[in-house]
Amino acid sequence: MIIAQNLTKRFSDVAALDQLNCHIPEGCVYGLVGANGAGKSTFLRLACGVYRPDEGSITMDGHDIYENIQLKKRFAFVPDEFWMLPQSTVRRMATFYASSYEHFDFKRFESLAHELNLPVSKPLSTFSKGMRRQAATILALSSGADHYFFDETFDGLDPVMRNLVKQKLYAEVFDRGATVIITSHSLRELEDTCDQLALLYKGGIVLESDVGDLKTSLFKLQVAFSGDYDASAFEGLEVLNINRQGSVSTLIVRGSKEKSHALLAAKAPLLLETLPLTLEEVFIYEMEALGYAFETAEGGNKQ
Amino acid sequence: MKMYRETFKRLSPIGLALAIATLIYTIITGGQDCFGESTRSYSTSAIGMTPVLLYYAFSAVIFGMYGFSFLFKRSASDAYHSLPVTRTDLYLSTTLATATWMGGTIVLNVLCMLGMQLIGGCPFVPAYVPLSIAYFFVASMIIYAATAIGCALSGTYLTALASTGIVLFLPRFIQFIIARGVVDKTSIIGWLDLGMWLNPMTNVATGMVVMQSRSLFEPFAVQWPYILYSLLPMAAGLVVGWLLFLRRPSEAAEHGTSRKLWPLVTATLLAVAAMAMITVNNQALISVVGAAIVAVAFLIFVVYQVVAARTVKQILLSLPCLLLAGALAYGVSLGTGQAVQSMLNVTPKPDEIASVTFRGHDYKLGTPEYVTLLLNRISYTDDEMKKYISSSLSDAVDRVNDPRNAAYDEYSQYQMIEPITLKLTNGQTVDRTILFKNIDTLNELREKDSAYQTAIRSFPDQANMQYLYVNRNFTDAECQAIWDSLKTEAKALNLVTNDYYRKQSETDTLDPSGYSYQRGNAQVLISLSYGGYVGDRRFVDYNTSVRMETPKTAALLMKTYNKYMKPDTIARMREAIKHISSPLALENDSVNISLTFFNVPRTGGEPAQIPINLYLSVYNKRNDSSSATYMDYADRFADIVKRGTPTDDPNGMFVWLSWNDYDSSNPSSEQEPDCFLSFSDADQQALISLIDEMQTANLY
Repeated sequence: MIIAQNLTKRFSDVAALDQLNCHIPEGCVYGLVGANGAGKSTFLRLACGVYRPDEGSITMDGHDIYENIQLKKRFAFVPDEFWMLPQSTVRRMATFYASSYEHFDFKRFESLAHELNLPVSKPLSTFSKGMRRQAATILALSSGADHYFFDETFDGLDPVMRNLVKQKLYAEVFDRGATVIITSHSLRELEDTCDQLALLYKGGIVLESDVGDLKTSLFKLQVAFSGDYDASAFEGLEVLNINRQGSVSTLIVRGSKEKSHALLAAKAPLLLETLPLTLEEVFIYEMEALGYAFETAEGGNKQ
Repeated sequence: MKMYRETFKRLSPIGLALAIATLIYTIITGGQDCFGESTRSYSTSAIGMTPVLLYYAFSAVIFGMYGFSFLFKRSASDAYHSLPVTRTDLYLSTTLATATWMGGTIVLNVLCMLGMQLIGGCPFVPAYVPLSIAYFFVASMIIYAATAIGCALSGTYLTALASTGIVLFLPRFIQFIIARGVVDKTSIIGWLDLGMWLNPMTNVATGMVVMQSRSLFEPFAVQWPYILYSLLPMAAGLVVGWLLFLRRPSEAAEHGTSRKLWPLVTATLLAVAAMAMITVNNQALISVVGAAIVAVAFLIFVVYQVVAARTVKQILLSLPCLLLAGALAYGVSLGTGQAVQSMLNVTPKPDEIASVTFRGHDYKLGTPEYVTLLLNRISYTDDEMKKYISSSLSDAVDRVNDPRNAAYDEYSQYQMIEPITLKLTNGQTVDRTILFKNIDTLNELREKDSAYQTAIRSFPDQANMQYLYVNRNFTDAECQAIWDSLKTEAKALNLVTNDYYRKQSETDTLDPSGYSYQRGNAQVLISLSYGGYVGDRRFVDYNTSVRMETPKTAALLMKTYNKYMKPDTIARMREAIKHISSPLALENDSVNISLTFFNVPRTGGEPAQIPINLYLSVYNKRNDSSSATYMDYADRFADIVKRGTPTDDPNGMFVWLSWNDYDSSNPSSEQEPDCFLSFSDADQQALISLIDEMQTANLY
């Protein structure tokens, strides 16, 4: 298990991560969501031993990760920008990684390249951004590691390739018990991929939960009353958002689901129903509560 | 090991390109030397073993920058630092791969040069092969180490390059300034007398730059003591580079510097260097020049801070460091002054001197005479010598302390500067270059040592000889025969053939008329030049003369000259003289006649050697009123000389005739071979009369 405790990393006077705490269990797909500048990439670089923490710690099985070669042998990092040797091919990069990963599997490399239809002997400089990410993913999956760190890797892949890569990652998790840590600013991307999800905001984790069992104090209610009504009808509730269409209002509420339900039920509504919150809604409203306003769910945010 | 192989492979594009480029350069330039028309007759220096000096200066930087290029790009830095490889392994693999490429290229170039020398039949010094390889390798690795430090301190190519230059040169530059201060203030301590820590050549990497600016150093650049000394800065640089690399934050990639203090320290040191330049030379800071230097230091400080710190606040906060720089520079100046004074205070009494060694009058030429190589191994320990050295050193120090010291007015015309090494009884070694009042006195003291006696009468072994020159017309066999004859005769007669070690007061003697002659056996027919090597030291000698004291060699020399004499040479010389008087002669036409008379009877001593040079030209004829007089003497000498007969007898009076003319209408005219002629008694008298006449008229 990777555990971060009071993890802090500063760049000059700016704290990219500030007293961050999190637990990443073994054998899961862990998603890290956050807006640009939230500290996702910094966290990933600390988690795979590229950066040294300024304060706090990040450990795996009780051992510090930074400069820990035994642990790093188990890690493969796929950054947002794939680095390649000058004038190299994917095969050349494979030999480069094989020089440091003692269990690098060339058979698996060839097999994955074949499955993804990636020309391993063509210069990488002729590859598109998506192809380079495929190449980086193949190299990571062939490294013999069991912890994979993907920094917004799926963002550049087309849907078909994205699914194919995801299948490969699932296979790693199911067959080998590997751990996959993925960052993205796209919630939809992670929603159907991750087992665990953390929301990162201004260098700290504001939400960490199982995707299937979101541990959030937010919930969505759909309610309708006979006759006209206004916002005063919801007094006593901490309503984050109201969306009214005709007589039906949809509310995003924070607090106790049971108490809220009882409060509205006492007002004899025509309709009172608790609806499931999408991950995106949780993300948006949690972040809005912290003062981060979104125009859309993906990108286009404003702070 | 795997990472080393991988890094070696990664560096291969640069390594191969540089190896091929340097080899091509070596083949072209070395080929010109070894296979050209004027094939070198004397071996190249150790530096010349690899003509691609610049390669070593720049390739180490290129390899370092390329090897650590992953530090300057965030994606590359992330990729490398995420690998399961320790930073030590990364550093070592880059260093070893660079060392392999650079070392291989150096070896390849040296062997290529050696191969061409062997094929071309050029002389070479075998000891230079390992010496030049070691020299260039250590120099390259020092530069590489500085680059490694620069890269570890920086996050961009530009700042890494600047840091490399600063790491490599700044400490040495400050050291150089101090050394300059010492040399400027103490005329008895030259650059080559400085101790290892001040000598600008001991660091072979920066020494390569120094010798470009001061040719004095070039012959001393490549030597084992400096190479061994340079292993220290090399090792220190590599270790510091490694430690900084270990502590370097990965996030420094694409940022100017990895350490906040580094720009401030650098700017301060740059300001120290700028201000120290003036303070060590005793210029007051309040003078105009001093103020200008402080202004330059301030400018350097601020500019560097602007580039590195980039915020006005940081620059303002750092300004007090400029005061610190000034204080440091002043400290450097005071320290230099103190060091100079303590050096001058070393005036040991005779009983405090354990031994003295003479490094040779020609030591500073770099390629000394053969005899010097033997003499500088001799340590003199006798009391008289110690007394003389102690007194000479004290005089020299007095002179430094008071340049108007009258003691030097007593010095004779035979005073001579020689570098010495004193070993004191307290274990201290002191190098000084001092002026001796009379070289004959010094030589008399040295002659008491049998090793000295043997050395000054020695000739190099044939196996160590690479070059021998007597005259351009002579064949190698003829030169060798003269050389062998001189050696045999000099040894048999126990003569000193090197002029420097002969008694100077007897070499030239004054006659009552005030003219100085070489007389009797001291008359010199010719000075030979020869060169070669002993171990890794080359020697060149221009001071070994054939004198009348070796009559067999003199006869052989005269005979060999006359072998090349052209029968009509005198007739053509007269034609040439006549041509100058002709109205058809062109402005640049000239005749140069050299008549060296030997065994000319002179009053007040033995027969003398009298040289007479007559330069006749159309230009002089038109512009110099005395020209007609010389023309007249030339005619009169030629009228007698035409009756001379070739001779190889050095006993009677004879003349060595050497002449050539320049004819503008035929500028490719060749040098006329020289000849030795003797004369009838009547002609001898006529010649003596002419010589006396010229002497009376003060015309030669």
